[in-house]
Amino acid sequence: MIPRSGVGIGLRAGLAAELFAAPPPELAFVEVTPENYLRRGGRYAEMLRNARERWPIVTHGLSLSLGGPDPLDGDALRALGAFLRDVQTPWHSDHLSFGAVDGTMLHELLPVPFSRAAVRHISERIARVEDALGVPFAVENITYYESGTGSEMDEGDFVSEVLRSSGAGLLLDVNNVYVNGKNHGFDPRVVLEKLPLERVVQIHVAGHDATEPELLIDTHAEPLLEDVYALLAWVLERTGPVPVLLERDDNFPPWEELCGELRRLDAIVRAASSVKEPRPC
Amino acid sequence: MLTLRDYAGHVADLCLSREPPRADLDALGGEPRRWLRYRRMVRRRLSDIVRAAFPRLLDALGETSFAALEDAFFEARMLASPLIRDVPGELLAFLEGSGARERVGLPAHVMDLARLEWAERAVAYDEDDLGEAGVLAMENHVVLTRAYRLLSLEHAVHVIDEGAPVEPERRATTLCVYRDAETHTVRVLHTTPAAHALLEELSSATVCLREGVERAAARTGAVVDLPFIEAVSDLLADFSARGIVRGARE
Repeated sequence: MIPRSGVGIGLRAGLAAELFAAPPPELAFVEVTPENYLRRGGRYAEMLRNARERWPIVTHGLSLSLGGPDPLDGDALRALGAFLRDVQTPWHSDHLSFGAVDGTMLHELLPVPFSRAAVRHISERIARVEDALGVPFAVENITYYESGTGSEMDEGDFVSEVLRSSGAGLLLDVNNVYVNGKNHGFDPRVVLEKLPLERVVQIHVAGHDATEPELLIDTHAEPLLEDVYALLAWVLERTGPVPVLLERDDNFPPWEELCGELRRLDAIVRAASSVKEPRPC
Repeated sequence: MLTLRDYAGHVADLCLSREPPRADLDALGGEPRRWLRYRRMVRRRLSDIVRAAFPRLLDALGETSFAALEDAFFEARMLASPLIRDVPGELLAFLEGSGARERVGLPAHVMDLARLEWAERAVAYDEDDLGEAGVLAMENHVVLTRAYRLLSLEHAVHVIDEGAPVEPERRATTLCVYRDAETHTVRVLHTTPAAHALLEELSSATVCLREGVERAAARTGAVVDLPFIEAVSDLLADFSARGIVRGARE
């Protein structure tokens, strides 16, 4: 079981050696991306075995293309479902984005227009995905740098509508809301206040690239910003204790630096736990 | 208003076309600069994965030719697998497609180099072996590891080291790329034609060891006599020590 007031980290090949050699005591769970482990042996299989021996696993996917027009792949969903049941994840999540069209995979989390048609389309697909996987399902809000001419609502309303009509849980990426606020000129708290925060099952935090101040890029390759720590605390005051995951995918710093980020996140989660009781699961 | 399919199609066109089409940017609306950021992100991610998989191919071709190859590959849209780790294999399939190598203007040996590098990549992460295998016997089927590839190439590309590109000698070359089960290290074994034929025959699930040996002998013009059997025995012992041959099943 994943503790409701725990912190976790994404299992990455670039972090694995230090993670297993010097695991931080605060670490309560590890998140894995099934696409990296499905039908895969060698070092990846060993890494997954080692992680499963030590921590509860939660899964987070990349390739469902919930907002995409192509049909869902039944074989891929069955294989994914078997993997999820094997690692005993409490839920599986993927992104409110698209990544494929006309059989071409773009391997990126691309934005969908914030439209009523997209809400209907995504909600129908979530229902089919949840049926096929056999575990509870959550969607993650993404960073979007553009949403095009087809949008009929803002991000907060769009995510809320998808959650309402699909019944899915929310994997709330606090950094993504922050980055979107900066890139599109709104206060992230305004979007967060629109969201049904009682549906949050997990939170992601990460660093981002601010090389171009007018367009922050969600890279998972930089340290967490003070503003993001503060926004996380603000969210946790409203949600109560929720598992919080540090995403670090690249440009890995010294291990002690990452452990320091985990310690600080753990303190924030514990502070929130002391002022608000955990919600019933 | 665009349908979701039309919208997604414009985004894909924008990202994968050799040059970003103005018509797609117009159809998508918003700030072109930000859509072009998506184009860079998609192409960068794909490029990173193929460059990580083909370091010697990149060395051999140089930046300009490799980038031209990437452009042609992206434009061909041979990106069907939902797993990004499959993209290098899709690039190889593109290269092997009719006329792709000639269109991009690449030297002949790059095909073999790409095949070797992709085999090394694939073998590193092939699924682990399951269960125990029994003792080798002539009437049993040989059980090979799941983590191996047999390559039959026209150039000795296995001698090329990363960072030291050379024009490889043109000569028939047979290789067995396999993964060490203990260390996960990928190794490349330069095999004789007879050893290659034997491994190919033993790869068939339908033949027993005796049939495999006979077929390999017939393919290489060898007589199945005592010296031949002793040589096969030595080969099987070597393949077993390497973990390529795991045993046998009835």
